[in-house]
Amino acid sequence: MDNEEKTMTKETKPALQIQNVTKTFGKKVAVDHVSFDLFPGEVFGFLGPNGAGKTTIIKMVMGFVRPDEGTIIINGYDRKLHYEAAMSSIGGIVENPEMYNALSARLNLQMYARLHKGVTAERIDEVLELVGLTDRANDAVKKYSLGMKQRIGLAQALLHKPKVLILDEPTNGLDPAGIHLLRDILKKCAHEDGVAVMVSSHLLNEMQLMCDRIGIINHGKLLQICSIDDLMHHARNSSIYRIKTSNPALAKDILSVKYSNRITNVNEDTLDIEIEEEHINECVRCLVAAGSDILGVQKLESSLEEAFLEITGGGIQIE
Amino acid sequence: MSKILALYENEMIKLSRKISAWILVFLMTMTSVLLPLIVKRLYRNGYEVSTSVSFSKSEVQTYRDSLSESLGDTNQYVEHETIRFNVNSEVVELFATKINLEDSDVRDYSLLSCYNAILANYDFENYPISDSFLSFHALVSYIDINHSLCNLNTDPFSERDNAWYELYRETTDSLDLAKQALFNHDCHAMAILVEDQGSSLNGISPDIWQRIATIDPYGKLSLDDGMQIVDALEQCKKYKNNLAMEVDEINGSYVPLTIERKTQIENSLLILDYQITNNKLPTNRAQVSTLARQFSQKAARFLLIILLIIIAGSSISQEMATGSIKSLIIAPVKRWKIFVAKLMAIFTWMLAGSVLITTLSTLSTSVCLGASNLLPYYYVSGGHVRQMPHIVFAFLYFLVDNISLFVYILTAFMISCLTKNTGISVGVSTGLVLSNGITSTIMDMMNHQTWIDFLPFSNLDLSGKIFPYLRLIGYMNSGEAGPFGVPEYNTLPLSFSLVYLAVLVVILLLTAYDGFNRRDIQ
Repeated sequence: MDNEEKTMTKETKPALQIQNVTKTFGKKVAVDHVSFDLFPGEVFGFLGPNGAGKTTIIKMVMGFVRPDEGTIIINGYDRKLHYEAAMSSIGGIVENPEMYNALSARLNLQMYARLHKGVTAERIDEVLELVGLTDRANDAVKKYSLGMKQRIGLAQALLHKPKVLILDEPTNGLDPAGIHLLRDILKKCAHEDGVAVMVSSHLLNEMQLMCDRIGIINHGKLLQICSIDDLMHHARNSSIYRIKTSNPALAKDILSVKYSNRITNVNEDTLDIEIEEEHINECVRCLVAAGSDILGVQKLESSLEEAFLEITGGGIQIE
Repeated sequence: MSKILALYENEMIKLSRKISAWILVFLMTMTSVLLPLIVKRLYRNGYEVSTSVSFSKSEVQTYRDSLSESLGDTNQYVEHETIRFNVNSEVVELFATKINLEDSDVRDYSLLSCYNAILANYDFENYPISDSFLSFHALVSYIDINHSLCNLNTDPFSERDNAWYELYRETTDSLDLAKQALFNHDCHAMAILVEDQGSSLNGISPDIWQRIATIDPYGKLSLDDGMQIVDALEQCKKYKNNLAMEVDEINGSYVPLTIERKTQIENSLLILDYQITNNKLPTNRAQVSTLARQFSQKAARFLLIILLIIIAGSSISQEMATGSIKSLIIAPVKRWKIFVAKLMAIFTWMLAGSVLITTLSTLSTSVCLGASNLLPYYYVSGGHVRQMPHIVFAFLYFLVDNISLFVYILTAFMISCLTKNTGISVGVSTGLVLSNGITSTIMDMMNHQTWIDFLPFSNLDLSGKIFPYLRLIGYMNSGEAGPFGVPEYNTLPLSFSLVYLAVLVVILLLTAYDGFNRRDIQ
């Protein structure tokens, strides 16, 4: 299935193309020459620590922030040249969904529908049904909880059946049932309706469950784009093992012969080595053969987070 | 275009849900409906005084009886005679208040003889003294002349020379004329009398009397109307004088007359002449009506300005603050369309508010004070005086009024776009509106320096420049109050003000659009 999808995305035209986009706020470069494509039928996860530039990129795609340079092409239309055609195939939520609080959810949707072509009253009922707000549709939005606001925001984003759906931190404020619903809706949109979905988050587990591809960003630079499986693979295969020994220096000498650049850390009585699972056996055998004692071998936590931290340069920098 | 209309429709929905807006609309409605009523109550004495004083038949009889009693013998009070008597002072005072004469005049014993004569012969019932311009003035001169005659009669015979006899003859002739004017209601006689006396009588000069005699030969004019015509004629004389000397009078000092001013003054004279000849001068009641309408419209308009400043000052910044602007930006509409739709919605409210105010204040004034008292606007076109029906004038006037409103709204909108702060934009714009009043006061104090005319404030109110003859129908412009005035003094022509305002509006619009369009939404 994964392979099928990959081949499909290669063949089809990208729904969203971001080319060489740069944005500077004052002296700070928020987004630095970022380029990537988003294909119909995939859920793309945008991963990065706070302040990495995720939201700025999303705001540029949504038209809130003007890029200093670079091109954004939505559904084949350059946003600069064909603004309305480009924007009519995009939908989404940036940060928190904000509606006209004094008006009812239905009226909010009706007002939004008026700005799009071909959104019928039935479609409004349909999306309200989809996000489970049919009963409360005539209440003023100010009476809604944050989770309900997220839902109505999603309804608005889906209202005009966009080709590109962009959600910034969509699970904020949602209860587990809501998160589950959201995940289902996104997967259905992408895999059944062929919508290109882009989700930003700093919650890796969410990403793992939702996304097909992940783009990792830090300090405004797009560091890597890989499929979720590649990332997991990377994380699974090469783990860090901590070998406890009375003489780490000796152990280092022994292992240097074969795994010179794999040793990541040498402490008082431990030695960390990054190594594939199948090689650990041989590694231990070497040590024992050379006369080093082994007090313990421990596999350090290795998951997506490790890979993520590794890719983003060894740590989240809070700015 | 359809996108703009859709956005506009959305904006109107949003505005219609603002409770603060509806509260102000309610206040505006109450102000424009109730103020004419209040003005009517306050000024009722102002326009009803002339009809409230009259003598009934029985009252006249009472005066006659009490006077006869105090004189003892009724046959004694004959004209041309000097009779000294003691009269009941209460009756004198009563009489004095009834015909609106100064106390000191009445107390004079010799005047009393005249009153007696009048009481004996004058038809008070059909020609109430205080209700007729001619009768009142004829009576006063009759009293005056009779007084002089009495004084002549007291001169001892030994001192009566030829000059005395000449004077006596002249005085009796004058008295005959005064009698003719008073009892036969002959205004020409009055004119001749004043002409003969050679000086002004009661402050009204001979030429004005002659003019009145041609307008109203049979003394039909009421006292108020007559006084109004006198005022108007005095004003005409003054302006004719100024025209002849080629000077202009501003705040009491004389300056050279400009060509534009000259035309305005000449036209004002034409209109005044038309009004005087056709008895179209604003009556007291009409002036109160004008005051009521102007007052209610101005007060309601102030509320409208506040309402529109709140709407305009919050329309962008509030959406920015609550974040609801996002759903507009995400929508497939260009930003300039959002900008235009918002302005359209605001101006729809402006027009609707102005129409509401104008209609309500006009309606309320015509109900309270009578529709006929809402005067048409007179203007001169092709050398002829023309009139514009009041309702047409009222709506044109409100359009002109809206020019300044437009500038205030754009200012609030611009500040809202730039600062994205509702408080600052509403506060600063309201401050500007309020300081406009203060500025005009300061301008008056500065004795009209030329540079003041170049400030935006001085060019905001165009009503005086577009309707220069407003004061001829009782409108009060800033500065001098009262009717019959020629236009306010403006050194700058209308075309300058229009260009100035156009430039100002373009700058405001461009700055606002730049602030809205170029900036990022965070």
